[in-house]
Amino acid sequence: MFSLNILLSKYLFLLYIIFFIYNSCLYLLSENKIIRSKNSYLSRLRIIIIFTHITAFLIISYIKDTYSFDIPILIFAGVSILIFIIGFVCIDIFYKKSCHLMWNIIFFLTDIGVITLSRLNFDLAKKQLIWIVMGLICAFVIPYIIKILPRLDLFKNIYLTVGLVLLIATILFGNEEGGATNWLTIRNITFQPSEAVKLLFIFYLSCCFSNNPNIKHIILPTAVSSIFILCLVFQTDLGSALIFFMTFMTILYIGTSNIILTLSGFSAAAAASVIAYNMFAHVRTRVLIWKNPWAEIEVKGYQIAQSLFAIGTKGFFGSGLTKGFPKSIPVVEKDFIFSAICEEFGVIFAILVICLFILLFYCMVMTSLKSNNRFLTILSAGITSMICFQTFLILGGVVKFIPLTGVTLPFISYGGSSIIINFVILGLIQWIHIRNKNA
Amino acid sequence: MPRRRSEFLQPKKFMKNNIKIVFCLYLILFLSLIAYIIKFTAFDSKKIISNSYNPRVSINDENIKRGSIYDCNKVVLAESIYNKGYERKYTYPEAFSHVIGYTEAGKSGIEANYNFELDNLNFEIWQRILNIFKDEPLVGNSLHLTIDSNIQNYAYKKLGKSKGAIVVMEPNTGKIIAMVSYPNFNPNEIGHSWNNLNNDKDSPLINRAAQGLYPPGSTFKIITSASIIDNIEDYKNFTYECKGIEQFGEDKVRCFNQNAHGKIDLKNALRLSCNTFFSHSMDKLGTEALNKTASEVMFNSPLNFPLEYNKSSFVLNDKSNTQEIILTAIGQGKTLVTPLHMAMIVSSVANGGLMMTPYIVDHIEGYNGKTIKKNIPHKLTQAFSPDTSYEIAKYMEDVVTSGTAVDAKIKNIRIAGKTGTAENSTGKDHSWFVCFAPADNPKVTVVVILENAGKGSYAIPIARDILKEVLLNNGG
Repeated sequence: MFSLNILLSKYLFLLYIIFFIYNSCLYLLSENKIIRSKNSYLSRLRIIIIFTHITAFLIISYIKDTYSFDIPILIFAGVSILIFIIGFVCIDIFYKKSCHLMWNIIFFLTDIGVITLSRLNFDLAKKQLIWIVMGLICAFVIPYIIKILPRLDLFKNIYLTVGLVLLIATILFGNEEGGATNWLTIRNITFQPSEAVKLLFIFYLSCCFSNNPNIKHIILPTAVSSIFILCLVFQTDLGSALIFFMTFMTILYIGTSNIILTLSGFSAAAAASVIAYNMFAHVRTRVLIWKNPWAEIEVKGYQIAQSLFAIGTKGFFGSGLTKGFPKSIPVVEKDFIFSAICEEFGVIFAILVICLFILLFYCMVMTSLKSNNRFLTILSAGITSMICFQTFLILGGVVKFIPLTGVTLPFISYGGSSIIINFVILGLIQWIHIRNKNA
Repeated sequence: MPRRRSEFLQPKKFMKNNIKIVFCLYLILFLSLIAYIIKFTAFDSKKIISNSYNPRVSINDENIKRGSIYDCNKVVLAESIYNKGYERKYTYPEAFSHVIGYTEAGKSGIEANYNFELDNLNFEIWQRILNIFKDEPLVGNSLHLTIDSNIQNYAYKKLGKSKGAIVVMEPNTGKIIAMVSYPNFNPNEIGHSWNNLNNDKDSPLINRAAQGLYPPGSTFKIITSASIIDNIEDYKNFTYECKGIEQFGEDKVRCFNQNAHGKIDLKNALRLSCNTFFSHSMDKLGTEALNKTASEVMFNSPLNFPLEYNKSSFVLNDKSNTQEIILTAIGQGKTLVTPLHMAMIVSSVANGGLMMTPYIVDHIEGYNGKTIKKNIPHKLTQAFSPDTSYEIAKYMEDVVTSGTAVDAKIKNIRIAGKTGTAENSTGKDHSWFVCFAPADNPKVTVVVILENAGKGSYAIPIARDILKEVLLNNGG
């Protein structure tokens, strides 16, 4: 009987996400006055999130052998849904003018992350929930802080200094985890400063490029960015290096509209990557594994091969929640969480999750386009580009579309620094959105 | 606020355009990613999921009655029987040990490569409902093979206790009719004998028919001949004076028993398996031409066989020395071939040069007996031009009527064949015989290799008897 329920839930989850995307699209159309409708699309989205949550946790908490439910998991499910509902209420009270679609998509993505984590590693799911609460608080507080200090473009040198200090601290005191030396430990709390440094540098770059830049003004930010990227490559944090490079190029292009500069930037990067390929063994290894993970499947290719097995074995409809073997993938809770989603929810569901991300980026880009402030336009476009490329990098990596670079999947992967920074970004974008509406 | 100041703060027009351009590019990236994932899931993943590193291959749902395996006449070859949990029983464990494989202590053969089909529940929702309310078993999909268990058992009996392999296939479809390898194992009892099997130096777990790499010996002259026909314009008048032994640089090539064949052309050289002729022909042919022919018949290439197999290898290039060149021409040197690949090459000679993709599962049936998937013959490649293949088929017929394989003759049936005696590092020569029949309307290809048997003629009677069994006793 339970197996039949899991089987049916597979299709139910698919219906949920299709209905979610369908309503999101209708909402966007009615927002843009393409269709006229007074339906409450947004509350439907919230109901879908709650239903998904309940369906998933009924399955995860069920203990087949004793025909009973695992009480701690049920309590966790209750607490987490309560947090989401409190989130909804807070948004309605304090942020009526924010982008509700963006909130809903992020809640849905976060919930998919919490569900998958609970199934993979319940302890991590509990920790993740704490990070999410902290992230939500950040996201809610940021607009109020910025109200006090609205001219974010005046602190160029502060961003630069703090960013450099964090960067140097990581180089001097960083410790290694998961193959990259980019973690700082202060009193037992480990965090990844590169996430924060990335954000600080985007602020810095936005300041530089919003003041009618000419060639002279570009040299310093370019030099700073190159140094930062080189540091990341040395720390073997190739993912962050690539993300930051793409963000820099995006800001350069948007800020200057100079095709020659942009193209020369890309050619310089191409040359640099050839040099990096020949100089650093870890870069070469990544590319070789990508080309043929089967050659050294016992060691180096193991992770990506396991990821491909997870995605490919059960195919488009997946095995059903709790019926797969995603734990065979090393670090599945962080970088490879998408493969776990593919296996148990099915590839179609996973592709629809990618569509959710695309919708999210659409909302963020619209915020950027509607801003009437040059600094904020560049800043929000830069941030969106960062999160967008990060998503592409890890999704493409785990399905072997591009070489794998270990970065987190925003809002879904386990990771304190990543969740908090992503919610900070959300708070910033929401503030810009509110500002657009007030203008 | 002064007007200039506010203008200064406002984004320039080009910025918003640029933002749109950048994110359109990102959108393209994401769409291509989605397309890639769909392609991977629909097609590419099929080739990798049976890998032994996939833990899902060895973990099966014990509540599911794994699908049965049948031969082409609906004879049960493997089925799961309930006895306090499902147990896998094999009808002909020894004759089918490599083809069907085992399910204990890991999986192999069809059990491994079609594992997910055998465990897959067709109309799963309906089956689960019936299971709950009517207590009917959950039944996986069953496989119907192209293999004929009569021929398989016959070939197994003929191979006896000789190390080696036999492949029987249908030349114009690529269907495998029988595939036998010895030494073998008993999949019903593999749990007890696992350690012995793994440590046995004769590697009984290896399917020699598809995984065994052997020097082809004189059977390779089929390929050298094709290359001569394609590349030497006046090949019919290309003759050579065979003295039974010939010096090439520092190396000597001998014919069998140092028999001098005298003045000889291609047709007779193949018929009598004259080594010196083929080694000598390399002068005129050149390494590039032979290399090209070898790649055309799929050396060093994937064969798309659904079970575990090895690619045959052929190494000859500008850097090869004289010794390698003259030996490669007669199937020695570094060339290695699997019996399966040899059967495919011979089949393409029989099939107007067209090489078919070999397959072993004819169709897959759901629990209710309805066909879910039917495999149809696929062209793998055009290995020889039609004219070349007809010419070689004629020569191969002469091999049986008046050449090195007269023992293969069967009354009223025209047979084309080629013997091979392959020198190797493991001891006495391997004995090859490859053939197809009837030569005027080929229905079956048989390849036999006996390890360390001595000379080519030992494999001939086995192949002849199998031909007889297929063509005469089986209503063929």
